[in-house]
Amino acid sequence: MAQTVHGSRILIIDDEESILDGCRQALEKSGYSVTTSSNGLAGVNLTREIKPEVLFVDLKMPCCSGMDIIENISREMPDIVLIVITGYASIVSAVEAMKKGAYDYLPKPFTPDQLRAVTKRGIEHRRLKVEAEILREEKARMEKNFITFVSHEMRSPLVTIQQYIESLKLISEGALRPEALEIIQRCEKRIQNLHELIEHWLDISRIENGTFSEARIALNLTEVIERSLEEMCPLCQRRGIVLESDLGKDLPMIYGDHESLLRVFSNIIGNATKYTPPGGKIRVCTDCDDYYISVSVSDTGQGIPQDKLPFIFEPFYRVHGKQERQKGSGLGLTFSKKIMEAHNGRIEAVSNEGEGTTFTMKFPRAYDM
Amino acid sequence: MTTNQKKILIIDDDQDYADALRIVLENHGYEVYHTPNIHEGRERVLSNPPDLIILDVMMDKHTDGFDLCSDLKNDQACSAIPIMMVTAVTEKTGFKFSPSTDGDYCLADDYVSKPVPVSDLLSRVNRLIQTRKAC
Repeated sequence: MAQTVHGSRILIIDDEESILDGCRQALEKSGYSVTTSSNGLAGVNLTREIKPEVLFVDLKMPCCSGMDIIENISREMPDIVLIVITGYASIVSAVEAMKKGAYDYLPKPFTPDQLRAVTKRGIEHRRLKVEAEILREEKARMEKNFITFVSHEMRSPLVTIQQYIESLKLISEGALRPEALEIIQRCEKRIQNLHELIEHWLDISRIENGTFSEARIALNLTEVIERSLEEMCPLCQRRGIVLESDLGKDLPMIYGDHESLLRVFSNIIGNATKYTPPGGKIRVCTDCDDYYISVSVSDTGQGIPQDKLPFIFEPFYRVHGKQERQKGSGLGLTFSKKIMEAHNGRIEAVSNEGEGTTFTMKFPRAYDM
Repeated sequence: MTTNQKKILIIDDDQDYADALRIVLENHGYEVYHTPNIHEGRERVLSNPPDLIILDVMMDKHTDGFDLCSDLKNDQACSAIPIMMVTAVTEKTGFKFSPSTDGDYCLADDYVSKPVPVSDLLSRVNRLIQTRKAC
């Protein structure tokens, strides 16, 4: 039945042969390639086979509901422009069909010119939709390349400076005064901070442009936390802080990105070490109810004043103002919050000044695994 | 200059970075050459084979280092020369192919992130050159 006329492919499903003939003649005259079907089910199969640009469907057919066809095709092949053919009396159902994914409707009786006008509009709509999709993909690709490019350009000079400092330390061994060595050490520290800042900025860019969510897999939170505890243990020992944990053995799995979550936990524990005095304690626990899996990190540090608590997740916010500048990138908590949001979870902080702070990370339970 | 001095070729588009490595390596008695791109690098490897290649990843193209590594490792004439990939690239940059995640695919003998601490650099270089002597 398919015609070999060049031009857009149109398929018409209608139980009235006279309508099919009329439509075919009108559209073929304008150069379209027209296929018709007088049976709903056969029409659906034909749609899958020839993938028309525009599909006309009669809403009222004896054997099969046009509404169902609209609903199924719009879900299965969203690129096809769907137009319903309907009697004057059924404008209400035309509206319903459009809610289900039809782009336009053509009330009976219609003239060849009306048919051609609706067809032309449908094809134009499809063209714009396809173009918009291509542009969207192009934009996403450029953004991704941009991040790769910028990260390389920002890192390279830093890395080179760090490598030079390494060389400098080697060739100046024993030749420099202690003051000079201290200056080199300070430079190293500040460059390290800048390095971390770029890393965090990159992470945040990655979350914002959606590259992040590609990396989600089923994972066991206990394992991630254990790795983080291993990582943070030496730091706590150096600072004379006790790091203890109480982790649930049978926590349900979640979908997530192992590396990002590892850095969230390490960030929060690392943060706690900065504000907890020697002899203090950091405790990591997990909990689980019907809706959430929670991970909490409590410290016995100085705490965060109540009026500052709402701002701690803001980029570059410092609870203690400028004298805190050297403590980190200023993006650690912002990053952690973004990562939690990308996992459909959240992070909260409760604090009592002089007693300590508890950060709680909540993940929604996934019941589809 | 002794004749059995080991030769190291650094292929990196960052002259400064190459110099920073050169200072350390020459200080420890290695003979160091540098080429700023993979084309000159490839010629140099074939005309005057080094004992070790230190190879950057992102140069003119994002994948230059991987491309050259794969070419050299698949060429009988030079497949025995150890290659140490040194890069600031990680999977986090949005770069799909990274030796830390796709190590099996990458034929380099060693892979290390920039910057490399001096002691780490020297022990790796030493080990790679020893390995070559052994085979």
